[in-house]
Amino acid sequence: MKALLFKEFRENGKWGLLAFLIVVVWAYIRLAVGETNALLQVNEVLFLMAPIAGLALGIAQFVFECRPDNWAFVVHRPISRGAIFAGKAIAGLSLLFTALLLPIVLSAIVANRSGHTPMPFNWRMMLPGLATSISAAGWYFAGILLTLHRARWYGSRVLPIGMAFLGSAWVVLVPDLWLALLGVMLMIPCLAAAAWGVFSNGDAAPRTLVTRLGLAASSGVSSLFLFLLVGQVAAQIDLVSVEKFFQIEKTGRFVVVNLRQDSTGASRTVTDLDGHPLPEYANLDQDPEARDRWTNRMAPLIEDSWIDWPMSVGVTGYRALSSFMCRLDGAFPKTSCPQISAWYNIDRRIIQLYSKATRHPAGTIGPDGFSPAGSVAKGEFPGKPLNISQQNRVHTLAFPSAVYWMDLDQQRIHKIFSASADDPVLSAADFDIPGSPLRAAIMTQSRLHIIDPTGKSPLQFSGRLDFDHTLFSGAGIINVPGTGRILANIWWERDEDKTFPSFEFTPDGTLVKMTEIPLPQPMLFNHSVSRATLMGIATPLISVPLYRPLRFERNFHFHRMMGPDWNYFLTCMVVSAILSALVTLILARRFGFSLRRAIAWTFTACILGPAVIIIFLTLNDFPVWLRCASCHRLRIADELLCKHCGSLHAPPELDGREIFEPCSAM
Amino acid sequence: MADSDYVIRTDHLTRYFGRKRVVHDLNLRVPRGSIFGFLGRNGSGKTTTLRMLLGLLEPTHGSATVLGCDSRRLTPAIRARIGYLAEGHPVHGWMSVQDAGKYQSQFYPTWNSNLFRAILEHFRVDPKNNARSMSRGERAGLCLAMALAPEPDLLLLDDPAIGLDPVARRSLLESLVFATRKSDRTILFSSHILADIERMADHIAVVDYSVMRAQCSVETFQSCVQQFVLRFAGPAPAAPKIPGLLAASVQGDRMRLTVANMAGETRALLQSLGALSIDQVPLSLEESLVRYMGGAGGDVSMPITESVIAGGVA
Repeated sequence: MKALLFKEFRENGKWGLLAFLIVVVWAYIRLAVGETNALLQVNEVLFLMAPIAGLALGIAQFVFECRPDNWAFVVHRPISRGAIFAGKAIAGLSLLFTALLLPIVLSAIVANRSGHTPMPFNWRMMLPGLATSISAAGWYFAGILLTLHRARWYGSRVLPIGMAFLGSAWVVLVPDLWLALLGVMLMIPCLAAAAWGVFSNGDAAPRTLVTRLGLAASSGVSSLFLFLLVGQVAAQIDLVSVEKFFQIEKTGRFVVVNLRQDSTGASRTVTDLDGHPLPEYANLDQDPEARDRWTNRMAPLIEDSWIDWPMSVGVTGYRALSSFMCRLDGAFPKTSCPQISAWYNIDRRIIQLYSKATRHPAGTIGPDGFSPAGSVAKGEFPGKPLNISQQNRVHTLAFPSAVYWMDLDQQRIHKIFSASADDPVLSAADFDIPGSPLRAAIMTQSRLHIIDPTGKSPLQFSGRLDFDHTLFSGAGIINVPGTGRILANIWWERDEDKTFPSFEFTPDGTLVKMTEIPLPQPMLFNHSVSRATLMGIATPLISVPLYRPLRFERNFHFHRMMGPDWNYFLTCMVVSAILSALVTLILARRFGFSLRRAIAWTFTACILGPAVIIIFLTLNDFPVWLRCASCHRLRIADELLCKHCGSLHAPPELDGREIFEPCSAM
Repeated sequence: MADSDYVIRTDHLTRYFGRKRVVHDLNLRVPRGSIFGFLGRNGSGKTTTLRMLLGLLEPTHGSATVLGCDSRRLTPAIRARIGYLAEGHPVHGWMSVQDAGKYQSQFYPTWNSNLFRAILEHFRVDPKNNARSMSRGERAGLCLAMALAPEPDLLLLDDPAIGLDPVARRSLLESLVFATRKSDRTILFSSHILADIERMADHIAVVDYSVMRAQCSVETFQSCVQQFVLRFAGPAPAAPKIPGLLAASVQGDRMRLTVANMAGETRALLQSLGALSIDQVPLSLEESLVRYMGGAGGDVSMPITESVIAGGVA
């Protein structure tokens, strides 16, 4: 084993070194053209390089064995095939991880040096690169399969790449490190078992349960993924996009805009909340200016200020910097170009300032004020800010107990609001309405406050809100131009909630009315017959009972995506299940399976869909059928005895030139 | 002979690639201590058989036992006793000869460094050479040295002389003869080069189109393949259909027949043709093998002539 490891290191060290150099040089080039952290650059580079390096090393390490003679030279030696594979895999993975992890460690050392970048360093910045590097092991085993697996017409060699791709995507998309690693730790053993099965059995299908399961999982998951991917791509052929969203008129009236887009163009209609068309907007399509204004959701008819609160998803996670530090660019005047970079350090609970020119620390700001670099910070803030998702664009720094206003160009911060214990702050944001002075909008559990941060007229507005904030994720605060009233539209968090509350206040904070606005259903669907067909064919029947428990709608939006084709999609799914079962049954019989085995495979195909056909073909070798010399019925060449008559295979016909010496004479 | 006297034993060994049957019902018996020539034309299934014996390929059906162990489950201890020289002489190109020997030696407790060096010297291989830069002959020498140095009980050689020039081939054969100094070592080698078989083998097996047609000692084989020249008073008649006929040609009043397994019945059949004389012509082993492997009834050993081409076109 030692010799094998040493040989593998020597043989493939160059590939590991090459991968290391590419990561380092690429990150260095990115660093040279951008003003960011070396560690973050390495993380970015690894996002692409880790899969490439894993795949390339897997191929490079096993390509020698592709030729039968070389294969014999490698495996015919007094050491078990398992030990050979383990030795190669240990060496390959060691090289791969060294090539990918070393740049992370080196860049972390560089990034931790004062003067490297105008931002604080946190060791958790290493986690995205670490997780990405670990997922590269899946690509490594996919590379082995790509090299050694038998090539078949359905792409048997390429299929495992789909699973490795899913592993990499999983690592990037899930918010929690443990969840990312759990996914990778499920994916890697599957691909490793599949690779071991292919290596151990040469040209034959793997025999042991573990290797068969590994190959089945990697082929099945990949083929399912590819089917769904093809469905998504096919949707571009005949996609019809139907979107419904709110607009608020200057009078404060809510209207629903219906936007329909297909290959022929777009059409728009405007209705009231009950769906009745509004005649004053009947010719919206003919007026290009109004048309664009009404259908551009990023530029609404009335400017609002948005307040997110911590329930908002997608802003934290082990890959997001905001889980341990927030950039505070919004705390500078919009018109100036600040020479200071400001960060809220969640662990230290202070604001850290860096000079953009020297990249060295310029000082810290605590609740009690500014401290120059090198001196102790003046106090600590209460904890993690509530404004995580929008902290980069506001002056407010909100905590449950208080809200601070930051003027970081003057290295100044002051408290503008203290919350009572029974009405804690949910979030705060700048209330920035064109033509009005900049104010702070603060949402507490039961009230909305609008405050002048200069302190000249501290409390300008305070209106009572009565809703369950845990069901919602944000609010749009609007100063209605036509009436001067304040509108607070609370936005929903979950798909299941079909209404959202809208509070209308007079400027002195009196609640005029609270309206439950129904969400237009569906909010959005992209309807495509091609996609419904292909995804219907690919989606396993078993997903129907799992649809609600596993919250598929919330995660994948199947129902919304299919729109009016939902029933057609379900029909395709059922037809596909029946056809998959039939094809598998026929195949199982053609492969000479017993009736019991054939039924088991058929049932599996029925509930898991066409991916099972691919799994079946991957796991089983097609048998050779012969006509039995004794009973003249078809029999399988692999079986020594005919299952019909029990006779042996017919010996070769003699042609009279046979020379066989009796054994005793030899 | 007891089963233990056979180093290799196959029973109904058969292998298909897709629908193509490459090895058909092979019942091979290789006696301990023999030098066994495994002969056959290209594509007759020799390499496939050797790969099945080493457990590198699964038989479609049938079984093989090597050194008393099922070929599908060869243990590392058994593998240590089997030396294998693969066709094409594969080596790790980046290794020096010295490194290759050192690497290989760490797997084999019985590695004989002196023997390794001796074979390299015999092939005039510089140990500092890189394997990638070596000639075919040098590479064959290195591979043979790596196969022989562990002092295996069984040596399987897959067309060891393929692509070698006469000098390198001679070196290889001499090394193999040297290797047989260990009395109970068995060598099974496949080859196309019949002179090598004649020089080396004491037993042979001949496979033809995936079927083994002969398995015997060299002497028996030579005695079983005979050539006769029949002289007639007038033009010779067409060649008769006789069992074991390997080749037949007619020229004027002479008919030349090569026959395997000449039996009394066949002799009587020849005599009934009314020839003036029937003379047996002595055949070398090489000639016997060529005629034998040429196929039943035809004569592939005949040179391509104008008349053959004309006949073929017609």
